[in-house]
Amino acid sequence: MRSEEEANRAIDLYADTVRRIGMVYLKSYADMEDIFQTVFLKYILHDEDFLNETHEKAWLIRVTINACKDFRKSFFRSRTVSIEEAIQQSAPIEPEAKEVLSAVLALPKKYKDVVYLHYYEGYTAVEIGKILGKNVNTVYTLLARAKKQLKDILGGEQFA
Amino acid sequence: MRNRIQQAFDFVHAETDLCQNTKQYIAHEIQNRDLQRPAKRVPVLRYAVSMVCIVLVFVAFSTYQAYTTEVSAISIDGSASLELGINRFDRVVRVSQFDTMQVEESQLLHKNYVEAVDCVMQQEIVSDAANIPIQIGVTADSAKHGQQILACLSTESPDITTHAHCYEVSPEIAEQATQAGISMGKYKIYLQLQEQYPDLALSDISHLCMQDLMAMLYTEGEIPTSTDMQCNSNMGHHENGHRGNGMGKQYGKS
Repeated sequence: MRSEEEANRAIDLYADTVRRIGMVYLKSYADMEDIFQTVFLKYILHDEDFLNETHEKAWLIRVTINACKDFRKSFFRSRTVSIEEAIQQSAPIEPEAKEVLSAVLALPKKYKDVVYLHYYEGYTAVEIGKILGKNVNTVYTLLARAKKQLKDILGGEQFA
Repeated sequence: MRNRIQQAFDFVHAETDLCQNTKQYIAHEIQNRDLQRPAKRVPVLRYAVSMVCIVLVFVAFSTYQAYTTEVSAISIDGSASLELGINRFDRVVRVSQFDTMQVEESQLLHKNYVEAVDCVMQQEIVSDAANIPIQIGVTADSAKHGQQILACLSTESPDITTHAHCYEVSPEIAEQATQAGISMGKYKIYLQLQEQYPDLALSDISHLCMQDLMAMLYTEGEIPTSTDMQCNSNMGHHENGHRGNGMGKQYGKS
């Protein structure tokens, strides 16, 4: 089991990443809090060493996504809230950013994570395939379709 | 698209409360799990037992080595010859018999050397004959130890005092005797005989008993042949003495 210091370091480093993924998947802050704690609990119980910070971050992203997916299947999850509420629960956001976030969160579930991982975290389709356990071609397809939908929602020219 | 999405998500941060609560939760979990986890038992007993076993094996091996290592040897030469290897505890650990005679080794092994020599002296096959005392040669790892053994043999056994002649053999002669495959006593006499008969070879005297060699040494003359000698092959029939019949090799005489 990892030490408290290691846990605090990981929270300081990766809290935003976990929070963003939580926002993509979950719509309740209470659920978010549960997932947040679950992910870092799994982190301290994970005894294997990480090769580097990239490896560590990829592990945390995968664990967060799996925890969110498991949580969504759970019967005991909290009531869902609207996308607006989910965004409001975060820090104050500029209108333009709010519009983009709303567009991303409005995407079908299968598109949201690939969009976040590709456009925000900068992972390639191959890396996303490894993290999500999906075929690379499927990831390419999902990305293409997500991009098209975002263009439709947010206006074609700006997303060219 | 990438920039806009990045800018949008950049606004999303983990709330300070969320981080603080999670840190507290994790600290609490770590503490609970530490308390629940049974304290690591230091396997002191296992280490202690292992160490004791290692020490016992080492002590047993060292003791065995010390017991079986010869530090001195006693050569007893009469009508037959035998040699006793003695360890540092004054116990017999080797019995080498150079003749066809058979002394029960079990009667000698692990006995104190004085008892063992006494026991050999009782054997008819090594008894003195023709008024020539049994020759008892002693070699040891140090001159002092050799002298101690000689003193012990001379004082503690009446048989030795009356029927034997004790002398010290240097380690070099003992080594040469071992290489030659004869007893130390016979080898020493052989060296003395060589002064009288420079051409004398070991093979010429190896079949002779000590008493024959002694007789040769003190009565210059011919070397008895094996057919003349009866003390090696027929123990107990040497009372008549063996001086040869003139048919043997003539050393030092033209």
